Amino acid sequence: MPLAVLGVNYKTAPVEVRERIALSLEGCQEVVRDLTGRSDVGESVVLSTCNRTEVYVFGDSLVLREAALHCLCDHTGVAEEEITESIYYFEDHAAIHHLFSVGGSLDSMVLGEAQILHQLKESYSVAEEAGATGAIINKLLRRSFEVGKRVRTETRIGESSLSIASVSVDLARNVFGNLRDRKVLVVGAGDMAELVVTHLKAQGTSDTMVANRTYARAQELGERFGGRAVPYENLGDHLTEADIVISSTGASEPVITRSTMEEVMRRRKNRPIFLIDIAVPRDVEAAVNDVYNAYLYDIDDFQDAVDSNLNERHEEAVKARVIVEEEVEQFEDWLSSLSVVPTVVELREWAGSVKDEEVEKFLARMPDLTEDERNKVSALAHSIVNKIMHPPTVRLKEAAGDEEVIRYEESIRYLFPLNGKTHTRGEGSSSEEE
Amino acid sequence: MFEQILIGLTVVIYLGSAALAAAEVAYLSEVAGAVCVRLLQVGFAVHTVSIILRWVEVGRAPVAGMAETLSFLSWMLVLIFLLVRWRYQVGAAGLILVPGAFFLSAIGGAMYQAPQAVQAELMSPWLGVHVGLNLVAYAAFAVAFSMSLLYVVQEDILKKRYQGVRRLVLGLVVALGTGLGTYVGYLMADPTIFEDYTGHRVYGYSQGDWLLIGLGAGTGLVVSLIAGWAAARGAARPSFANRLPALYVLDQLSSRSIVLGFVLLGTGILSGALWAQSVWGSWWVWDPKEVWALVAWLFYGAYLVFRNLANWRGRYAAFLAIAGLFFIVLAFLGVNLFFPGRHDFN
Repeated sequence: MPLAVLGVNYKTAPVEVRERIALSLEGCQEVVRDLTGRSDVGESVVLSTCNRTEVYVFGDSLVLREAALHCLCDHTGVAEEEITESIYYFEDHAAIHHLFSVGGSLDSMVLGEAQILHQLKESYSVAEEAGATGAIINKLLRRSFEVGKRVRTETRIGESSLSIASVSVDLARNVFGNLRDRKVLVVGAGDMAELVVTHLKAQGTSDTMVANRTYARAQELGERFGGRAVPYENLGDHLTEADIVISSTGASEPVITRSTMEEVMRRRKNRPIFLIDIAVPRDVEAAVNDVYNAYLYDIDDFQDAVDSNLNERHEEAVKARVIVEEEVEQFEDWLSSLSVVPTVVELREWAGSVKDEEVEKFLARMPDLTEDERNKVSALAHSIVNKIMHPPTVRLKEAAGDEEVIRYEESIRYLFPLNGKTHTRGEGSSSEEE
Repeated sequence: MFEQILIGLTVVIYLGSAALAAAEVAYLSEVAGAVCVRLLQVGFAVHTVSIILRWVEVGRAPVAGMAETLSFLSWMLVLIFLLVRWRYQVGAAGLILVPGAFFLSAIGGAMYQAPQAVQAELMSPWLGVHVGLNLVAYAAFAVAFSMSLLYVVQEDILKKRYQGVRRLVLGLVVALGTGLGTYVGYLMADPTIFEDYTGHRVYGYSQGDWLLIGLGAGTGLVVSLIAGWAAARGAARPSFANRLPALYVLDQLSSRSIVLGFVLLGTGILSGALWAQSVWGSWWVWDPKEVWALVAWLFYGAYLVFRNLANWRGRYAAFLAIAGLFFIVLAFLGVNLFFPGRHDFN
């Protein structure tokens, strides 16, 4: 079964190599055109992202590796010797498994990422446009999209947060539950702080207060968030009011100390407060975390949370791998059923031709039959042939997934005078017979 | 006989649901959660039927004697859990409430007695009112207990006190596992039950019985230590906080349950006093059960005072809510076992 993939990815090649072997969508299209132009390659798709460049081919197994490598190097100007160390080449089962893993985001740098599916779809449509796809690649790629979808919906692999902003939201929700109408205070400024505020606002927080040493800056930011600037000097007041505090100043000393927070907590009557300290050096004294009902997370804590979430993704990946295995098996069953079809068709064709011959001969010897009677004779012959052909047809199709099926096919070809030799799988399904 | 079958079925279903509730949290499995709820609903229906049957059989509210009250209490726990889960999506509360329901119904089932004549005083509408109110109150306090226990775990995770998380989770799992083991040991031991001259049920344990119970407890302990260790490791990480309800939600539910329990228990005690007046001729007889119920009621009253006047929301309140159940258990079970008095109707 000559289906294969050849490629490099972030695991096998450093970025210096990957960037030279990368292809734009047009480049991918040219490669597939080139490849399928050869008589010994039937179908092809090329996928090229920042993390991988892979050539999927279907054709004569003896030449696939060489053809794919040659074409790739041709179009990118990279010499074959330069990348032979970084190349991986899989055939048949391994190739299908690889593609489905890629589609299921299991081979990505960030487990569970959503982009890869989109990139796969683009590569496929470009190849389809160029006429480089056929029955096998069509089914294979479409199936890989399905795998990607299943992995995303049936597991939680893509759900856990891996960015500071989304982790902040998760943590805030773990403390407060619903964030609707919770108050946010931003101390300082910065892109990360803005990102966090945006994420929080998406959850329904209201009243974003911005405090900055420079009041004008606070006003500017306040407008951007649809919030309001507040005087930096009254930090204690603002801390008493806000539920979630994002601190990101350039100060070298902490701007919120433990004693400040204890006083604030008294005034807050112990209502919980969540502090996000993304400044380096830290803006909030670490001891603040020990204050009753105050929850403090600094940059390192966020990293721990992200690592923990990544671990969860790895656990979900186990479920995803099961899905991939299932799909690979199903696809292989489909693939092997293809080889059965020609045999079944030829068997029935032979039976049908025998029937036609005999009916013709019989009717020729019986000139005084009425039209109706002639029809009835034809119908009888037809019915008998169908009944006899039915059981072996069904059995062959049922056995399509088994390894035994080759033997059944060989037996049938031995026992019955069918045309052609025993097919090697897949030959009859991509291009027309010559 | 049919009633016993139903009770047995209920107990088994509750055990299965408890396992599914744990699986839901441990494996992040929505399927486990959905099946858990369905199974619990089926068990609840079966349980309801068994209670109704009992009601009809005895011609009064089925809340006299240990077996009946335990059954009703566990029934109440399941009802409250299903409601809370539906309304607030706090599936994790099932980690404590469902095993709790299992244990109560299991012990109740083990103490099953065929309906016998009870003291005339009990054949009164006051029975359903007085005991019913108290039992619902106990259930409310049990809910507060569960929410508060979860609160402490969740707070430890969010405060990054992972050592504390590990200890708590290990402790919980070991407590549940050892309890389950002991129960299984008890089932296999099957001691003889007979009544002594005062009409009390007495359980006769042979040495072999104690051995079986000890074996069960020991096995439960060992297995739960291993399972608890694994669970503790799994829980002591930042992402686990996403699997538990929010602190705010746990705190609110706990305190609201206590308010409800406080009102119900107060009314329950009052109804008891009124009933006592009508049959014993006295409002208050300093019976141990009365006293400890009042102590519990005052304790939860103190909770409400501290919470609102001293702003004891959060961890302090959780500790109070957890401690409070001790008084409830004492008032409900402890007195019957250790301090017989006027409330002794078995």
